Parts: sequence; structure tokens; C-alpha cells
Amino acid sequence: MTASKLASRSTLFTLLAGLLLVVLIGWRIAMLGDYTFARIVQDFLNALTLGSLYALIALGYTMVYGIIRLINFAHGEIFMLGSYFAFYAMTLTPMHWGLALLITVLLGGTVLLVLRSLFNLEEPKRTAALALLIFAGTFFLLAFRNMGWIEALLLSMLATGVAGVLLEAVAYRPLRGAPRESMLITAIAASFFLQNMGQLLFGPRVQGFNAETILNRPLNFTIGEETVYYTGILIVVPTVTAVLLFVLNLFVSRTKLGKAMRATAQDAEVAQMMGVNVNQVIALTFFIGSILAAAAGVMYAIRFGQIHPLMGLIPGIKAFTAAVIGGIGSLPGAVLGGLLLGFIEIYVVSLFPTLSAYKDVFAFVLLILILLFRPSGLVGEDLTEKV
Amino acid sequence: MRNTLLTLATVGLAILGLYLLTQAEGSSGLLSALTLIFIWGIAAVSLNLINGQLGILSLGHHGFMLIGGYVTALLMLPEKERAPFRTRLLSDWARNHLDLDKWLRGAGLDFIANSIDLKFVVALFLAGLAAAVVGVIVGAPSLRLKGDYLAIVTFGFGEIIRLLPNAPEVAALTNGPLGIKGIPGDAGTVWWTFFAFLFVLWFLTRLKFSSYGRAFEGIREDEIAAEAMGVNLAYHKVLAFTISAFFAGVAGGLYASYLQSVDTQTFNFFVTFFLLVAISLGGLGSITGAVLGTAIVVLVRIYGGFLEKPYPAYVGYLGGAVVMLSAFAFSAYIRKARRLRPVVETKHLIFGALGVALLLVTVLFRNEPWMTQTVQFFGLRKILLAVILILIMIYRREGIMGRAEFSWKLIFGPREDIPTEEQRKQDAWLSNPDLNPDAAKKEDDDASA
Amino acid sequence: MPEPLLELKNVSAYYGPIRALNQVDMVLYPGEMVCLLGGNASGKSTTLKTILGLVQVGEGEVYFRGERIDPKPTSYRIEKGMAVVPENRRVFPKMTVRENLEMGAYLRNDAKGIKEDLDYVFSLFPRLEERLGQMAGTMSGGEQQMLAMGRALMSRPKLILMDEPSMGLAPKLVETIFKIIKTVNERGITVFVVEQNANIALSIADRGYVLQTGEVVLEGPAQDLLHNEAMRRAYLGEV
Repeated sequence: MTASKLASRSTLFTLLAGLLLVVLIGWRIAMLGDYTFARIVQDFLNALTLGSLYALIALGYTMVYGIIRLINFAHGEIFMLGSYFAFYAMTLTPMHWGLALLITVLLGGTVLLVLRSLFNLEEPKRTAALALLIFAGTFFLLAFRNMGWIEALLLSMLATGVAGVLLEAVAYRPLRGAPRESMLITAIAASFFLQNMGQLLFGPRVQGFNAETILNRPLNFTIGEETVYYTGILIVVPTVTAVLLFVLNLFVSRTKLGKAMRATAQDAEVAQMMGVNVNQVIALTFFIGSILAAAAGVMYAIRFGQIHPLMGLIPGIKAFTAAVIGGIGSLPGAVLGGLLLGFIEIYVVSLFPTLSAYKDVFAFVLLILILLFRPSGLVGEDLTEKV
Repeated sequence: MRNTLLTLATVGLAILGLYLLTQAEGSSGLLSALTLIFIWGIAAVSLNLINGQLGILSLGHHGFMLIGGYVTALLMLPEKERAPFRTRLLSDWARNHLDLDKWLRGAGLDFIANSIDLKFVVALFLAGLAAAVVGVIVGAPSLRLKGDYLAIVTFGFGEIIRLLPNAPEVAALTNGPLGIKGIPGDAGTVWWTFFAFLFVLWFLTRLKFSSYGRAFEGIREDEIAAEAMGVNLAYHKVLAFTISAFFAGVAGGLYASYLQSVDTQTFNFFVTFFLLVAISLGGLGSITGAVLGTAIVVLVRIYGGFLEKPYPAYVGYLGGAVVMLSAFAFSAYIRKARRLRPVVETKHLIFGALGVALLLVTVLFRNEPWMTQTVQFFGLRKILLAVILILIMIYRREGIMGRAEFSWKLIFGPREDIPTEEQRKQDAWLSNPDLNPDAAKKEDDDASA
Repeated sequence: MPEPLLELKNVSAYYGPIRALNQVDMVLYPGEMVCLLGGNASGKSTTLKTILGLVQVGEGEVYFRGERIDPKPTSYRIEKGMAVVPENRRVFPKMTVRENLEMGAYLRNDAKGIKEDLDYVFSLFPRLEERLGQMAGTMSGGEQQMLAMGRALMSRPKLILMDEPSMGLAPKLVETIFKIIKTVNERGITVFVVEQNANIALSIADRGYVLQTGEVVLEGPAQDLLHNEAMRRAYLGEV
């Protein structure tokens, strides 16, 4: 079967599946008497938020896979770390100045080293300025301020980004060039390591996450006779996501490092021949992916009010599924897949409430089907090595 | 001939030793450990068939074990155990139709019927069969996918199987998240598991050294070449999955009997991870290695409990400092030994710095209240297993045994590293005095003798 | 004799336990065009990779512009003035022609100089200017070769390494490409061409080396090699 016939066959298949889905939904809506417009709006808002979160996490998976062909099993744990860093930032501050100093030196030092190597900041003046900013800022925030959610978000993003870089340096870089299965096994081990470290350091219990009331204050409004339950977070999540995506897109398409990342993803050896420092690019990829996951983690924690060390498992798998749906390796694909998965999850549960127990099973089934029948995803191109 | 006798003698000795152990005082802990080694050993060698010999990374093994565990549980539920009607269905049927005891008594083989519950044998067999059927389904994608995508698909299957018993429609049969309790523990004893383990070892060893085993390893090395040699890829791949799933199901059934209860948390992804550590540590592709690795990780799991006892907090900081500093020293040593430059990289320095910082904190704040309060480090054993796996992947991917197997030749055969007289004469380099000064000396010796 | 631009002294390189290069000595002077010839698996590509730093030397030293570079990373060597046109072109398929060219200038910061070089590349390869926004992966083999060469020129190198530029191209195209290589060389850029097509390589090169199983078996001015008996029999065909 020629390539074009195969491609059009799977496109046909996808279209048919889509058509079937639309018919199913329409029938179901007709069957459910009480599916009002208010419900549609409610579900839409929830789905947008959930989908945005999945999109942010999915980007991390897709970027890392695109550049080193590794499925970073531990990415869900990075997401979890983001929540916890923000949690501790908000609850432990202001802290004793001695502790603040210790953390500033250790954390700040590590962040400084990592940022320097990531962004080519060898100039002494630039380094000094950055160092001043990091150390002074961190110390101030830790010792004197009861951090609010925005500061905690930013600090957590930075810390988690660095954690992602460290993960790559310690666990994945030594396996550069090893067979992919070995890297996957290592990623699984790293995932378990982080989960259990989290349980050890943060306690195994579920932890309540009380964000600023400003975000959780109800902003309910009514449509017709029904109330749509609405809090600030449902605006914040899509907005923050949109901003992050915009910045990411700018970075990847306009800046030199961004182009180097794209080039490395396409042909790492030739990128090296152009003078690209491949190690730096890979570390940067992990950094960006982890930043986005951290943002998702913090917002997820605000939205659902709880965190626990194993919180990364299920969202991680779902986000990975989203990345695969959109086409692994493709950034817009990850966003598309994330949003799609969010919408599917919310609307299926809303339209077929009896199926809600199968939510997670459904995610896995979808993953298997996509990998079997359309591994290149919706947006991705055919990865011929898979067949 | 000699090998077979040696093997039989060893087995005989093992049986004797086991018997003595069961009679000994206070040995229940050790016997328990052995039972677990046998059970996980069966699961590990069955996983090794796919991951090690066939060369396909399969991450869904916990699903097969779960099926085996549940089927065994459902078949073997005793009559008096209270359970929802549907859950009892299978065991009622089993009691009526699988009662081999009647036939044995009829044939006059009472002693067998009295000593072991044959129903269990059949139940385990059916458990394995059920898992094998699912194994065919899980193995099918291996015809189309490769590498990490395939691994994810198997992982997906494993998780789906894990989630299904909790689903409302299925829970009628499986009693949902509560699981099934009161499973008879006969099959979970050390004798049952020991003989099951022996059987599985024997079977898989015969398989490995048969044409099937060679076909599997051929597929692992080069699929296309294997196909060109006439190996039917589809048949062999699915066969490997089926056999592997079968024994995983048996292991699951044995474990269910050992625990005397099952629920969906008994067989979660950690089980597969645990087995993965075991076979990677022992050596992917080696049955001996899988057994060795299993023994090690099971012992870590059982006897590592001391790590998770309550300690004053400063022990934790101190321990952390020791770990960091030894990691730093270890990586520096490895890099020096492998002559890598630079010997100390930034990331290693971070470890060192953290270690020193923790040490300082311990020393300086030793008597602070937050240092002396007791803490418990739950999950330290799991962390240890994860670290072991990462270290193996980085420093010694082939594990302890690599792909080699134990054979009596290693102990009783002639040394293979020293050339024999015959080999010397045949080796052009060794026997040529112009090239080998020792040979020249030898010629002189021979001449002057 | 001016200072050599590139020098390989007694270089041996290994792929694991296999020795791919055995005590190779080579030298390139500024402004020269030198070709490296040999059959398959003779070590030609390995030589390029060793010069670039993609393969580590086991023994021996590599000097570039008087400096010892074999311990240095690839990016350092590129910065010092090397550029490469890889085997099979290997353009970045999902980037546009413009972006590919920009990647060639990755290590540069001078916008004005980059613009000048871009214009020069367009003057050599007008086709590229026409297709600035096209995805490189959709171009033909010949166009990709032009793009790869243009990309190499964008770093304003002192030395261009070319790996089998004639591979997979129609003979007419090969002639054009080699004419352009000659033009670039006349501008003062030293060119080191690895080629299987000995005839055309020797017709424009100044000197040549012949590799066989990792060792230099012949070297000398291109004209001498063209008329060398052993060469003709092995690589040029009996005349």
C-alpha cells in the first residue's frame, strides 16, 4: 500500500470517527432532558481550564521527545514538584532569616549556575547583575514576605525548571546514545524515585492547598434559571496558559536558542556541526518543559485545592496521551491534544454520567488506539520508523 | 549425563534443606522470604522471557499477575466465605466440577488427595490460562509497533486491567475496591511455591535452549535477519507473550494464596517496576540472572525494614549527607577510572556541596528540637530500588550475569582462560617463536631437555 | 611555505575497538583546495568527523590555525572558522531556506556581515533567493546541496569541509556544483573535499590524498594523481 493511500485511509478513518462522535453527542444531548445551555457553558469553562492544564504538561512531554526521543515518565512528578514548591513558598514564608539565608545560598547558587549555562551568560557584568537579582530577590521573598500565589508561582516555576535540568543531567545525560528502552526504564525509575522522595519529604497524606481567596471567591452568574459556578481560577488558568504559550512561541520561532532547539530536534548531529551546543539545548528543553509543568501544577493545586505526592501519575498519563493525540514532537499538536482531551473528559462525564468511573480507563484505551492506528497524531507527520 | 546428575543432586539437596528449615525453630521469617522469592522469581523469569530474551520492553506484567490472582481467588473461595453472589459463582462451579479428589480416591490414590488440594493445581492452571489469553491480546500490538511506543501500549494494557475490577459493571464479579478476602493459603506455602518455581525454571530453561528460544533471541538481535531465516515473527512474538503471561498468571495466583486476599492495589505498576529492577539487576536475558536479581530485591524489601524505622531527625540529615558525599566520591572515582575528563563536573559538585551543607546542618543544629524529634522515612526501600535501577542503567546495563546462564561447566569444567597444549600448538601466534617470546623460551627448554 | 591551516599529525581514530584511521598525516595550506579520495569504508568520513570533533582522536593531534584543537568541542572549532557541508546534504527539513541559512550563521552576531554573506550566497545560488520561504525538506537533491553549501558559507569560514558533494546528483548538476566550489575556493576559502568521484575532484583540486582502510596510500598534486598508474587502475578506470 503506497504511502499516500495509507495516509488518506487513516484520514478517512479519523473523519469517520469524528462524525460518529458528533452523531453520538447530538443523540445524547437530545436524550438528556436537562442539558441546558447553562450546562454547556459550565462544561465549556471547566473543559477550557482542564484542557489548558493538560496542554501545559503535554508540551513538556512533546518537547523532550522531539529533541531526544525520550518519553519522560518522570514529567508527572515534575508537575507535582511545582505544586509543592509553591505550597511551601506560600506556607513557610516569612521564615527565619538563617534558614532563608541557607536556602538562598543553596537554591540561588544552583539556579545561577544552571541559568548561566542555559542562556550563555558568561559575561561577568551580566552574571553579577543576575546573581544580585536572584540572591536579593530570593532572600527578600523568603525572609520578609508572606508569599502570595503569583510570587509562589514564579518562584516555583524557577525552582522546578532547575529541578528538571538536574534530572536530565543526573539521570538522562549519562545514557545519551544508549538504546531507547534503557532510557525509558531509567525514566520510570526516576519517576518512582521522585514519587517516593516526595512521600518521604512531603508526607504521604493529601495536603490541602488554600490559595488566595481572591481566586476562589465565587463569581457565579446565572444563565436563564441556572447558576454557572465560576471562580477566578477559571479565568486565570486559560489566561496564564495563553500568555505562556505566546512567550514560548516567540522564543521558539524568533530567538537564536529557539531555532537551535528546533534544529537539534530535526538533526542533532548537523546542529552540532553548525556550532550548536547540543547539551545546552537539551538542558534548555527540560528547563522550559519543567517551567510549564510547574505552572500547571500550581494552577491545578489552586483549582482542586489539594496536593499529594502521587498527584502526578494520572494527569501525567493523560497529558502524555494528549501529546500523542496531537502528534508527539509537535508543539501545536500538544496544545491541541491537551485542549481536546480536556474537552472530551469533561463532556463525556457530563453527557454520560454513568461512565465517569471509566474516566481513567478511557484515557488509556484512547492512548492505545492512537498509538496503534495513528501514531503520528492529528498534526504530526508520519514517523516511519515506528512501522 | 554428569550435568543432569549434578542438577538432580542439587535439587535433592535443596529439598532436604527446605525440609530441615521447615522443621527448625523460628524459621518462619526465612521461610516467608523464600516463598516470596519463589513467587516473584516465577514472575521475574516470565517477564525476562519478553524483556530479556525476546528483547521487547513490556510494562504490563502486573496486569497478567492480577488476572491470575483474581481467577485463582474466584475459583478457590471456600464455601463459608461471605461474598456477593456473583463473586461466589466461579468457586461454586469449581467446587462441583473441579473436584479431582473424587477421581483420585476412586483410583486408590488417596494419599495424594489428602496431602494437596488438587483443585488448587487446576485453579492455578486456569489462572495461567486466563492470563495467557489476555497475553495474546497484549502481544498483538508487538507486530506493528516497536520500542518505546510498544512499551507504552503494554503499560496501558496493564493499567486498564488494573482499573477494570473497580469498575461498577465488573465489581459484581470482583467485589470492587474491597477485593476478595479469605482465599485459602495452601498454595502460598513454601512447598507449593518451591515446586512451582522448579517447574517454571525447568520449562523456561528447556524453552530457552530450544529452537523457540533461539528464535526469540534472533528476533531480539535482528528482526529482519531472523525473518529472512524463516522465523515467523508474528507466531513467535505472540507465543512469547502467551507463555510469559501464563506463568505471570500462575505467579499471581500463588501470591493471592500467600496473601490470602487480593484487590486492585495488590498488583499495581510498582509490581512491574519491582520485577524490572530484579531482572535488570540480574541481567536481562538470563534466567539465572532473573532469579539472582529477584532474590536480592526481595531480600532488600523484606529485610530493609530497618531503614524505615523511627529515628531522630538528625540521623536523616546525616544519612543524606553520607549519601551525597559518597555519590560525589563514587562518580569522581568512576570518571577517574574511565579516564574521562574533567574528573569533576558541575553536577557532581552540586552533590558534594549539598552533602557538605547537610553535614554542616547536622553538626551545627544537632541539639535543636527539630533535629531530635523522631521521624520515619517511609518508602526508603522503594527509593533504594529506584536508585539501584538508575545506577544499573548508567554503569552496568548488562546487570550481574549479562546474558550468561549458570552451567556446571563453570565450576567443574576445564579452565577456558588458559590455553591447553593442543590449543597452543594450533594457535599460530602462540606457537610462533618469532612472535611470542614465551614460545621461544619453550623451544629452548624443549631443545635443551 | 605559509603556515598550514589544518594539520593532522599521526592521527589514529577508533570506533570502539575498531581502528578507522591509522597514523594519518595530512596538511592543508590556506587557499588550497584539497581532495580526499578512497573507496567505501576507507576512512574518509571518519577523517572529516575527526577534524570536526564528532569523533575523538585515539592518538595523534589535530591543529587548526596553529592551535591544537583535538581536545576542543565542535562548537569551538566552528567558531574558529570551520564549516561543513555534510554527506547527503542534511538540511534541516522542517525549517525554511532562510532559517537554514540563518543556522549556518548561528555563532555570529554581526548583522551587517551576515547580510553581506547572505547576498553573496544568493549570487552563487539565485535559486535559493527565489525559494526563501520554502521548507527545505521539500526541495530537490540538487537544491538541497546548494542550500547546504550556502549554509556552510554563512559562517564566513576559513575552511569548508565537504563530504561527498556529488552523491546522488545528476552528472550535469555535479559539474555545476564543482564549478561553484572552485569559485568559492578562488575567493580565498580553503576547501577540503571528500569524494568518491575521483575524476571530477582531481580536475579542480590542487592536491589530493588517497585513503585505503584508514591509511594514506597516495598523496600529491592533483595532476600527478590523475596520471598515476595505480590511481588510474583503482579509481579512475583504465584509459
